[in-house]
Amino acid sequence: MKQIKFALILFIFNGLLFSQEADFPKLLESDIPGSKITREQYFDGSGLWGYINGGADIFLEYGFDKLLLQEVEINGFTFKIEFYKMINQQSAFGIYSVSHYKCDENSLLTKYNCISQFQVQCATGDYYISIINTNGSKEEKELSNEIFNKVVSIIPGGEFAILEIFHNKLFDGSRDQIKYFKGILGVQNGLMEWYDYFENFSNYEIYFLPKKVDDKIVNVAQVKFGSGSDVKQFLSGLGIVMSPSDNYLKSDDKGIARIVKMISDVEMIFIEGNMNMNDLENIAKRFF
Amino acid sequence: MKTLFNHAINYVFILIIMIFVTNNSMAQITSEPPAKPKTNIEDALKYARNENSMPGKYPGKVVQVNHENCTSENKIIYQSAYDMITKGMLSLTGSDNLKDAWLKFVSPKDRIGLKVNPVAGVQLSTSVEVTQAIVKQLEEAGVQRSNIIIWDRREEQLFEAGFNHENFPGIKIIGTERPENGSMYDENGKLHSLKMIDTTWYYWADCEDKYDSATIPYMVNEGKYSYFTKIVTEMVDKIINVPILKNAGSSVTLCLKNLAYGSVTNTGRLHRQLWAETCAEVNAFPPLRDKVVLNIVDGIKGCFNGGPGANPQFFCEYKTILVGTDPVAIDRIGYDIVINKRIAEGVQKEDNARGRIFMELAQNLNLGIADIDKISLTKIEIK
Repeated sequence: MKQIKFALILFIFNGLLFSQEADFPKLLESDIPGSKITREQYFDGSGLWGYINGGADIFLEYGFDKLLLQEVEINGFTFKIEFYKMINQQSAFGIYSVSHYKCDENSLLTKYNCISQFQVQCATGDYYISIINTNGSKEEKELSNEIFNKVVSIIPGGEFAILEIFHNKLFDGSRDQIKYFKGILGVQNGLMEWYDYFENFSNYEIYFLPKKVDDKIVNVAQVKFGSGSDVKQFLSGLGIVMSPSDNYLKSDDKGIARIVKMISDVEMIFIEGNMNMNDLENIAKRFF
Repeated sequence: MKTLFNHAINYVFILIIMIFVTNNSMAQITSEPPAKPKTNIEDALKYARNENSMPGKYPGKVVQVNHENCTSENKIIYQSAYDMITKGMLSLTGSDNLKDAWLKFVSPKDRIGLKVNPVAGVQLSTSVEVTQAIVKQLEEAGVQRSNIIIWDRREEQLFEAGFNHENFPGIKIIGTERPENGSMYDENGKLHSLKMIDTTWYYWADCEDKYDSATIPYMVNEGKYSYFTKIVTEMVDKIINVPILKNAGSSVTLCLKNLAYGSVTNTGRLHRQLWAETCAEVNAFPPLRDKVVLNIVDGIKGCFNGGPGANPQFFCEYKTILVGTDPVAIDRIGYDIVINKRIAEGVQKEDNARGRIFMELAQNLNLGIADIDKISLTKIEIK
């Protein structure tokens, strides 16, 4: 009887797994005439180490659920399609934000995408998608775009919404540079100059966007910590002493001016610039 | 009297609790970084060094060979790779004969393992061309192909990166984590990889992770022990380390990382807490310390960000090869190449000393020289 129960549980479990994979968006050979899927493999959770070794750590930090890897041959060219399902839209956007760099063009199909010679990347819904071609030829790039169009049409879910502060007109034309971090590996990859600020913290979120204002670079971030004591510790590390009633704080340290506006007990707008405090405050007024 | 005594006990108890809470609160406020887990590095230091021990014959000496035309249409030119390694070997050894240069490190009777890095697919792994050039020069020095092994942890990834019998006829290609008959498990449900590990050599660290069933084939075992592969403890006499020039976050994955993480099991647990320590300390154990006789960094193609994963946005052609026996000194030179590129590309504003910690740890273990002022760098340009 026990054996029957075990077999039944195993059967149901396998069924669930199978149905999860059956529901997972993927490219079909019928989607692109002449295409042949030569590899199809799923990686769950920390099984991602099996695919990209140490490269998996940053995905796990952002919150990784499942990867479908497909290799497709079209017209003699090989394409690698990676469907990374992250735990939510923020995580998908986050990994995209630290993975794209110089884009040749952007598609209107999704809000967040980057098309370059060898790769098409996008964050849509809970998915981070990467399509890689082998030689970067014009034909391969066109085929990559065709794959991208198809892939985007089958991904469920909406687009990640950026925070209110970044809707400010000052950010027009640079919102595609917003980065989202939720751990030190992300910071290492996309915001190394703030590594020291966050090295000893965990359980935080940073939305970051540098902006050139009046020929000066200003770093603007919305930061959320896991606790009020982390906020205090973060500020004290920057030489800012906070009293409970303060919601606007500033410091001027070795030519770097910083302004903090608390928006809750654990969340703040943090603005930093290599300039004097007067200049930064004048700029900050335009953000608040 | 009894009541008074009880009160006193209560007060003492409360006092202890208060001290405990205060201490914890202080710890939270100051939030010092948690102490690093202990490791068994002391075990490694008990073994006497020999003439082959790191940093080898040429401590602190690095030869960098640049070749402007070593690629064509995104492909590495084999002959250019061969020429670059030749120049590097001759300059490193001061020899005017290539065979003599090689025989300073290997003999025809040695079983030689080429430790490549195949983890990021064909586009961002040690190149087939550089590896073929090394094999050719070993043959010219009298080493038989049957005495050469190309190896890494992941046999599957070796094949994916082009290390196959078509490109390397007559050479054994093997990984610690390997399937047999298409399965990672035998008929008794045991990993085939277990046969590949040497449980008498291990890196112990006081930290552990649980791996799910999909992950365990790539970690081989759980717990606090990372076992060395038999490839290094039994199957080879000498190792030539052939990493690719790429970043790992704001640091690099070059000689030390390629050897350390490529030679032991159960590495998942080590990444977060002990990355730098592992890169240095695993190399201090005799199977690596006393067998790695040469390092040749394939820097013709590489990446400056996104590493160790493969993200084509950040691929680049460094068009360089680094040669030396001192893995720490080479890593230090390679580190500057990568960090300068990161700064030039705007992904990092300035160098951060944290990225160099693993090299300093390795220097403290006498595995090589991390101090840039003490490294002798020879640059050769091929037009």
